[in-house]
Amino acid sequence: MKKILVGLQKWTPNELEHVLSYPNEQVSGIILGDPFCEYHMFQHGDFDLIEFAEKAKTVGKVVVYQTPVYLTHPIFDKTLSIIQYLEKKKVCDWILAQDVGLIHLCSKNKTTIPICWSVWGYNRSNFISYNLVNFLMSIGIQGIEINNPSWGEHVSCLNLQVFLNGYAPTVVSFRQTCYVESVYKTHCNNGDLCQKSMFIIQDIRRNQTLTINGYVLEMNIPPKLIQSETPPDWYTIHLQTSDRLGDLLKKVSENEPSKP
Amino acid sequence: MIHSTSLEVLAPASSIEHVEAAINAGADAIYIGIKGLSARPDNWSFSLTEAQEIVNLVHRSNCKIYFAVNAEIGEYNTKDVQELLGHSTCTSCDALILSDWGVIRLASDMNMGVPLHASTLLGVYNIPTIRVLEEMGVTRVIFNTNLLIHQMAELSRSVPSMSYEIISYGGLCFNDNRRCRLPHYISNGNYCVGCKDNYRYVNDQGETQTFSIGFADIDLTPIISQYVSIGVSSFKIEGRTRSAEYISHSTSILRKAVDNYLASEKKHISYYYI
Repeated sequence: MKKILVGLQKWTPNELEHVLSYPNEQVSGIILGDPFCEYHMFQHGDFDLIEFAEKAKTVGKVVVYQTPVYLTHPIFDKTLSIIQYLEKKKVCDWILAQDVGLIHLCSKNKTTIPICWSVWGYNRSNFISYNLVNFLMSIGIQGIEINNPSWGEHVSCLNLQVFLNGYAPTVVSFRQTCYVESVYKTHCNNGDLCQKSMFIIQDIRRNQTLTINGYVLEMNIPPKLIQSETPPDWYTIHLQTSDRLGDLLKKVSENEPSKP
Repeated sequence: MIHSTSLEVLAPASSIEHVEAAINAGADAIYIGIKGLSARPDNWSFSLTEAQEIVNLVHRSNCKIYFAVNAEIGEYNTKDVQELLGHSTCTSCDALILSDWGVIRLASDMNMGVPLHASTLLGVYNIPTIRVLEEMGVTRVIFNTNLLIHQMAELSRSVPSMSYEIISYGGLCFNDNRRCRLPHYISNGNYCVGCKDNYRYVNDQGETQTFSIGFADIDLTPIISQYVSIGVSSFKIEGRTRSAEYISHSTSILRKAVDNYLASEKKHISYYYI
């Protein structure tokens, strides 16, 4: 049975309640934290993050905190404070991180919460090498998130927990400055603009459509379900809303590889 | 404290003509790609034999030569990296520009005696990351193109022992250059990137807007003093895939800007001591 972790683009009290209503055998835990934007995922920012983590723990769910990609100062310090607070409240089981400085500092003396290298940390082709994995282990990671299932077997031999990024939007590009703000040439007004402006653009040369979603450019196509011959320790799925969660869980369990 | 006498004009090259153009136009250092391990296609990179010739040519002109090992590194090309790092041509260059944490660790452990530079593709955003690089023997950080000037200033102020480089002329990635998957392709013999293409957006009222999501080429020469004041000491020109004329022109412009800055600083210091 897969241990499934669910991430949503926007977490609201209703969405949380819906996801938490699934039994732990179906949804083992949730992923909280937007890799890019402090307004995009939660209505009340980090207050919601803490509250939702507490609620999830009360029903026995695993809580994973996804740290931001651009850990410039002061976001770096704020992220460190959040991690330490989550630890103090005992409401976080894993940290997903892609910043070497943060991982190094955390694993040295800032937290005992295990850290997993996130898929946002790879280069554009998501290539992995043993040199990279060994380096990451030397700075303190205890888990590794992959979206290439063939690597599952290799990394599990290294005594790392494997998180398979099994269902997520196809991200084409992202950047530190919000695309939505750039196009509208105005401040997002604490997420107001972003809430109503997920817009589609067309690449004229290749006749492809992309979605501008805050700081991220996505392919405007439904994600593919990635399965693995070697069952990962954790299977992560990322959705816009929880509406399709039931269907997706069914699909995932149908494609469950048989145990050797 | 600004050590501006050590300011560097760093030019790209992908042919002997490029190298000569850059040297003649006043480059202090030149960077090239190594075939199979460069972020540019192989026809704009050098084999190790060719690279050795370039090293000799550049050193005869009292310039420095850096090798960019900035391809995406997976297990499939790790052996090529190991061979490169152990090759005598590699140890004869003046620095390696590296974009992969695993490769940096490998080069650091090999203790090659060649300075290591952290590529802009590595994504360095904060002081603790620079400290990790410092522990691994990296001597220069090339600022990520996503960083804002005040963010660069904070980093260089906090870790002054590191040297800092910036892309100051030519094409600049608008997206996160390490992880952008917009297409990179060859068109009419030129290397092109998807962010410079035109995109079409139709708004709620049905109005169509056509735009490019990328930057036009940048030219920081008018504001070089601002970057020197925040601790940048190396000014890089982007454009390994461009013509020798472009390299000559851009190197001359940047050389002039750096020389003008140095002259004005000298004047300022001499007034100060009168």
